[in-house]
Parts: sequence; C-alpha cells; structure tokens
Amino acid sequence: MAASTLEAMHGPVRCPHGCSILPPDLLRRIARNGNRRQREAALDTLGLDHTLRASRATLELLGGPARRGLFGLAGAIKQRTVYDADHTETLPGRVVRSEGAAAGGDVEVNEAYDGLGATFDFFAQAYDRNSIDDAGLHLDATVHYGQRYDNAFWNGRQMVFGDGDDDLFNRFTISLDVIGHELTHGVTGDEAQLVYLGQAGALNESLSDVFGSLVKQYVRRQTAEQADWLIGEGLFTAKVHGVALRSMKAPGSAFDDPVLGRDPQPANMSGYVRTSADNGGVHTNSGIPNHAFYLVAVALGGYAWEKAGRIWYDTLRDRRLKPTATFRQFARLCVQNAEHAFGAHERDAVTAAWSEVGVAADA
Amino acid sequence: MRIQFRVDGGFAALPGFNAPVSIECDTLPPAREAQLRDLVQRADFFTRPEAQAGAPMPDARSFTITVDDGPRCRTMTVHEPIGDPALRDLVAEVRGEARKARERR
Repeated sequence: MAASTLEAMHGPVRCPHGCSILPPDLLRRIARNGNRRQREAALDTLGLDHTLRASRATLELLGGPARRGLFGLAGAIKQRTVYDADHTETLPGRVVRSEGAAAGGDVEVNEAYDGLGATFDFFAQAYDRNSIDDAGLHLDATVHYGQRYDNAFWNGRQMVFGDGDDDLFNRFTISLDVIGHELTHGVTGDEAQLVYLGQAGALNESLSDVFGSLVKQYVRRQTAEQADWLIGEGLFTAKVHGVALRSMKAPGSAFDDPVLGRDPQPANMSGYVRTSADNGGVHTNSGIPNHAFYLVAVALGGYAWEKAGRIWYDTLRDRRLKPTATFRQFARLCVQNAEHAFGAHERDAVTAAWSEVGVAADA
Repeated sequence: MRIQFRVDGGFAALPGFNAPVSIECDTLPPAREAQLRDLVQRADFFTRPEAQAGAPMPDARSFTITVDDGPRCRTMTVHEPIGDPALRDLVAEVRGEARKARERR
C-alpha cells in the first residue's frame, strides 16, 4: 500500500533490490506536507530504509527530538555497549559490557569493545568526527551471534559479529580492520548513502576497507610504507592457505586455497568483474578503488590518514558525490578534493593513482 | 529430492566458496534425507510467501535455495538476518550439506 500510494505520486519507488529510490529528503517532504495516507506511505518507506539518516528522518517526523532521544547527546565522548546474543540470532542480546566497565574474560567482548573505541578515536582525532553519524551516536555491537556464524555485518544501527565456524573462519572480532570496516559502513550510510550495488556498492565496500585499514594503521602508528594493507588478517584458521581476505597493496593475492578458491579481486579496470552475484561484485571490484587508495598513500608517504585518508574522507562527505556514483565520478572528486585540501602535487598523485588502476580521473 | 544452494555476499564474499552446489538428497543416508525433508516441510518452503527484501545490508549474505521434489519445485532467496526459526534451521542444515558436497568435488 505504501509503495502503490507513492508510485501514484512519483512513479516506481523501489529498486529491484529493495532500496528506496526516493531520497529521504523527498520522503520527508511528502510525510510533512502530504495527506494522512501519503504521510503514512512515506513513513512506511522510510522505515524500510536501514540507514541512520532515514532512521533519524522517520523519528523526527514522528514528533520527537530524534537525534537526542535515540542517539543521545554524548558530545565527543564514547558510549559503547557490547551485547551477547548467546549464540541466538536475536538482536541486540543482553548487555555484557558498557562504557567504562572493566574488561572481563570474554575475548570477543573485549575485542569488540576495544575495536569500537579505536574506530571512534580514529574518526574523532583524525577527522574531528563525532562518532558514526557525527552526532555522538552510541556504538553498539553484538557478539556470539548465531551458531558457528561465519560473518559480520552492519544492520544499519549496530555491528554484528559471529564466532566463526571452527573450521575455516576464526571469530570476526579478531581483526581490528574488520571492526573499522563495519563501522565505516555506518559513516558511509550517514554521509553519501552509496547504493550497495555495482560500482557505487564497490565504492561503499572500498571505503570500509580504506578506513578499516586506516584505523589499524592509526593504532599501530604505521606509515603507508610500514602498513600491511591487509583486510581481515587472522580471520582465516590455519587450515586456509591465505594471509587475509583482501590485500589493498596487491589485490588478488590474499589467498589461494583448495576449498575457498583464489582471491578474485582485480587491481585494475581491465579485470573488472561483471556479475549479478554479490550485488554486482561489490566485494570483488572494490579491489580497484582499494588499490588506487594504496597507490596514493604510498606516493604521498607518511601516515596515510593525514593526506590520502583526508582526501578520501572529504570525498565521502562531498555533497556532489551521488549515491549511484561510478568509480570515475568518485575519482574526479578525489582529484578536486586533493587539490583543494593540499595542492598540485597531491592532485597529480591522485590523478596518477586512478590512472594506474584504469580510471581516468582528469576532467 | 534435489536441493540447489548458493550463497551471495558476506564480509568474506568468496566466489569460489559460494559457488552453487547441488545436493542429491536421494544419495544421502535415509535419516539425513528425512531430516532435510522435515526441515523443508516445517519451513513451509513450497507455500510460504517470500519476504520482501529491504535495502541490502552491507556485508549481510543472501542464500538462494531451490528445492526440486518431483512435481513441486521452488526457488527462494533468504536474506540475513533470518527472522523465521524454521527457515533459519533449513538454511543452516542445507549450508552444512552444501559444504560437504563442495568438499567431495
């Protein structure tokens, strides 16, 4: 009913993958100015959108000071809560560690708590960002999710970690960059809302790898040259022939295993994988922008979060970045933001890096 | 009964590991085949309405299951997190069989 009402007003409102085509701003206007039926339809559609921005919009329209009420006004103070699902798939589970509580004996709980803190500190100190939504969002994570659960994901409001399968995958809290990766999905959802499909989806994935890796580098105080540029190191058990899930330095080289197969990531547009699987290969083609970032970071040297990371962060927040952005559109904004923030040397380094991965970033 | 199974996405998103697998249930031990049949039935697989997919959640997986049982055949895609316990049990057990089938290849 919600969809049909809005379709009558604005044509089709949902893409084949279920994501809302109408932007939240338009839905907000409909909900604010439409009749009762239109208002309900808009609120229903906003409610199906799992982004923080849509959540805030919905709650604001329901009449409350949503940002304050749901997310809290914590200033730049961390507010972490780790939950235990006790091997069920019910979220969020029971609270097992709140902000300021001492570490206990549960490794996953402690890793999640520390990883949330490291990611919060990284964004706050490197980019003056107050949590995922830049408004002090409380950081929630659930561990021990499901039975032999070999995945981690961001559900639009919190992080979810499985313990691995006791066979090929270790616990998903083991790798700090995995935690940074998942939380960055929250940042991307709040800023650019890149659709999780095709090149925009691969950019969404790549941004999570970029900032996930930078969180790790920031904690270790590693320069671009010193960093391993691996994503998910330690996630594989000893049975697997591989060092990590992905390599930003050398996409396609992270693993080669009889059971898991070979790392499929390309480092260049010549290897771009056209597929309907995985929302258009978002975890595969992310190797291309991942490698572009690595090339920029190494070319500029020093701590990667200071220049390369700043350029990518400015681009993520750039209002010209469309939710359906292509690699080329993203790359062009990177070039412009590099020049704006730093100058010609950095602009040329960014242009060269994107060119090396087969993306023409010049105008 | 034949079950075809495919995994899509996930943080790891391993195309080789996620490739489609076909499980010939008639070749399984009778007790295991009966268990899978029971799970298909309890999940109301052939008649349940397919849940509406929301916006894709980053790194969440989807599982596509086809059950071909003589005159009845249906393909359904299930997205994480799976709310229905019966459907969750079916996906978990089919995943286990798929992994064994993959390792036998």
